[in-house]
Amino acid sequence: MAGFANRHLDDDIVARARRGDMRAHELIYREFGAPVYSLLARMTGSRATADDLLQDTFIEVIRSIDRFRGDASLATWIRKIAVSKCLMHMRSAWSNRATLFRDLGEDHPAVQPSVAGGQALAQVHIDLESALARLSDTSRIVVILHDIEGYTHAEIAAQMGKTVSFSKSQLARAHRRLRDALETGHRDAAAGSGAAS
Amino acid sequence: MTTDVAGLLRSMPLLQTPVDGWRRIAARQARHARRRWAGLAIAASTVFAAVTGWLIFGPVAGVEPTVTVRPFIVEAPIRRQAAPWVDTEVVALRRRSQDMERLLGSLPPRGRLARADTVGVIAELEDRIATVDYLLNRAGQTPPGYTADPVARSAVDAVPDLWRRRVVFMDQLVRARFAESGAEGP
Repeated sequence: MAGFANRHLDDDIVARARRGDMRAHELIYREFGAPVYSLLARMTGSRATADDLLQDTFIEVIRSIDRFRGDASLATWIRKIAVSKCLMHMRSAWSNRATLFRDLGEDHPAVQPSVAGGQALAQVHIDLESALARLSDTSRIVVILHDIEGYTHAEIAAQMGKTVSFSKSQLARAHRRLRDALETGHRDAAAGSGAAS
Repeated sequence: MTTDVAGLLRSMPLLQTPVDGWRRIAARQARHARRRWAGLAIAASTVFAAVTGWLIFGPVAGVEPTVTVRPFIVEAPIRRQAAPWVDTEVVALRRRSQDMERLLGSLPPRGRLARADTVGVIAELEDRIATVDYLLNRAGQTPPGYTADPVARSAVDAVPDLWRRRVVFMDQLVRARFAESGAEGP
């Protein structure tokens, strides 16, 4: 639950949101907008699609917050809505055509350089975003839900209407491709720096 | 070069949300709320119209529904005003209604023996007049700025028609009471 971890809002804000307080709705968006958007952009491989789904997700959050009972955390509840919206979208015929125009791997101005890892890690992240965008929809969803969001294979299988072994094989395949892409990028970078020196 | 793909994926930074993301969500929600309110207003007005219409305009058993109402008290015809209505029509209707109230009051007290169908007609007409009076009273209590409440707005808009219906019911009631008492109408 990488991006959603340690994100919490006071019960008072949730109570206000239930009463229709738009300021409380905005606070929820400010807290959870980035993890939701990151999740959606990486699942779809498209910022434009993620932008639409971000709206859909928070509209749904606003309209159904009165049904949020607090059995799970607010973060888990919002993430569930986002994943559901995304999977529904990706199953649609429209989505099958839209994925031809994926843009996440081509343009990455919103990727913030990692403070801890410096430039090298930032470059790895950029390569990783590009490699993710080149995976098949199914592989990308499995790897994001499993590796980033911490879903189990059983949960992924249930969400996608597939078997556990399908989820496992998709993950293994995705890891192999991502690893290859990263190592190729690393070799290219090393060759480039060797040629320059 | 690390090959811990899962670890690298988890360390990826969050993407920044679109600059105007919240503004667009808020605008969309506001549009939805306006449409919902408009839908509720239409629904409320429709229900109000249906309920009052059924109560007021439905046929009264024993009273011929297709009869053209001829005012029992003959006066100059009351000119109907196009919306927005003005008070002069309502004032004239109210005066006519009061005249018929006085005429009813001048009739002898109702006897114990009467035809059941006539009693039923009179009871239903009195119920309908009571309903009209309730609606007129409600409209009269509506404060200025009633436009925020679609039901109240419907009630106020219906005032001239309510007075017209009251005159019709009063006229029918006067006729029924004259028939019941065996007296001849003027």
